[in-house]
Amino acid sequence: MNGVHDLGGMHGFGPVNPEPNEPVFRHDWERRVFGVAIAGFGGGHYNTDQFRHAIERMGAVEYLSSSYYEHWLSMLETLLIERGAITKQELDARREQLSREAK
Amino acid sequence: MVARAWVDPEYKARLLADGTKAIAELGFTGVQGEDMVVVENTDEVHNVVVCTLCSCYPWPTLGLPPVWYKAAPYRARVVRDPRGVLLEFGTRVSDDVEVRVWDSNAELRYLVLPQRPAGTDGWTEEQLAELVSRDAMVGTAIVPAQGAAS
Repeated sequence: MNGVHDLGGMHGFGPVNPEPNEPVFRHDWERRVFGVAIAGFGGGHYNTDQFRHAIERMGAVEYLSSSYYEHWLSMLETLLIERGAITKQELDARREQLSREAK
Repeated sequence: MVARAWVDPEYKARLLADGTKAIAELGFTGVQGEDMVVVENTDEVHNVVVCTLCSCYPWPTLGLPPVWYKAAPYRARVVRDPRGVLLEFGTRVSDDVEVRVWDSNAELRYLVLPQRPAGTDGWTEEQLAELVSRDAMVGTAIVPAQGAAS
């Protein structure tokens, strides 16, 4: 599949900027997304190919402007809804609730 | 694993012939390491690993990949301008050394066997293992020479 994820050889992304001694997870939510995503494999909700394909189906602009674990989160939302583990209504309701509580 | 290969020529031969099996001898097995190919740095060839499509990386041996490995700049440019990218890591590869870039994928992961540095004659496997960095096994670093000469 041709898509924006196929980055090899593209120009214009700037320097690599490797960071010495970076943490494995920069934020707690990244750790959580990682754990839930691995649990999704264990629970039989998707395999590696479906996982990658879900990330490759992200919109090009969204893909390039979001971080690695945001890609994983997008994969989780896509596949868990498609596979019927959660509904879009549940996700939206929970998201609304969390944003209310954060205020 | 790298230090073992430096001190034990028979292990090194097994490692280069069947990476997955030789790495498993040392107990490193598991997801994202099911099919491993080890590529050797020599005086003529420097190897560097990327996953242009995403973030394929040998978890059992190296852990989770750093942010730069998964980000667009490295994935896009290391295949087009590997020497320039290596310089950003402070790694200068001589013009008479060929640079080979290996694109890992979901089924198969590459790992670089760095060159044993000068000044380590007679060192034990444990001492040598201390010198080996993650970046040296991705190919973005070279294990530096040791002792007064360095």
